[in-house]
Amino acid sequence: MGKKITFYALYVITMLLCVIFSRFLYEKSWFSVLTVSKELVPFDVFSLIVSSILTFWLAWFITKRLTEQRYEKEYLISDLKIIEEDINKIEDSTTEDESIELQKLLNNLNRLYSNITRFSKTMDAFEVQNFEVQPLRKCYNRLFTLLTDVDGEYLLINDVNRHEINQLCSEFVLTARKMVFEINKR
Amino acid sequence: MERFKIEIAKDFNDKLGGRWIKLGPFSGELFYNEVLKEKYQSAMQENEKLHIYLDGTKGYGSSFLDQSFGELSREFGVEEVYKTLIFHSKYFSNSISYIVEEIWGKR
Repeated sequence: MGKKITFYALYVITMLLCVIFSRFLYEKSWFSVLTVSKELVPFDVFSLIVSSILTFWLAWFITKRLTEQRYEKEYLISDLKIIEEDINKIEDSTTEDESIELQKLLNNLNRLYSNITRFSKTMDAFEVQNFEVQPLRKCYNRLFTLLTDVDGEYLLINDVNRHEINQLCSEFVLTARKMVFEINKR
Repeated sequence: MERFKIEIAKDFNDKLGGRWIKLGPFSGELFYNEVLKEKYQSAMQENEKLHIYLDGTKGYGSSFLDQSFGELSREFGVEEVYKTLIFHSKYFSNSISYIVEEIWGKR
């Protein structure tokens, strides 16, 4: 914030100095040595038309590109939000009961994995460069191991593994959020 | 033509359990003892691949995968098992990755 205020202050001061200096030059009649031709030649008209067309085209192109980028970002961010919701659902399911059926956990984990795969394939489709999905997969594997390493048909929840589950889910959510910030900055 | 194959949903069960036989039905230990080990040894004797079809079940827990495919690699060696087994799945690529990367350590 401090940097922004300093930047804007410098900007205003620079503009003021430019205005004062221009006024000074005007008073000293320095501008009277400059002349402007009022004759219009065909080349000037052609140049004006070409410049206008180029300016419009550039404005259109930049606006289109920015809009496309915005759509891509929105898709990717919404995928990451869905992943975060899935993680929260899994975490909530482990706080409700003291034992959870393995099959219920597998259903939730399979859905989470599908959404991670969808996000990864969307990134490939949009040709997003220099962006790794591997951190999400690593978090998934850790959560999968913790929740499904059961001897029988149920995962028994106690104070020890509940804390571990909460911590792992938090790390997972933070990993997804970091990706949201990174995508938004691009 | 695949001479040696296991379709887990048909040859074992579509709803799979945890790790040990004594703690629940259709465990990894049971799958290993009754299905996987025997088929693997048969395939090895004939110098053939063993095809494993994962689809059709309701999902695989890490304990089931470890007590079946992990146990197979502990008994017969990771390299041999990795060369012999071929996995097929449309819906459980995560389970295949888990077996290969996390259990067998092949990255």
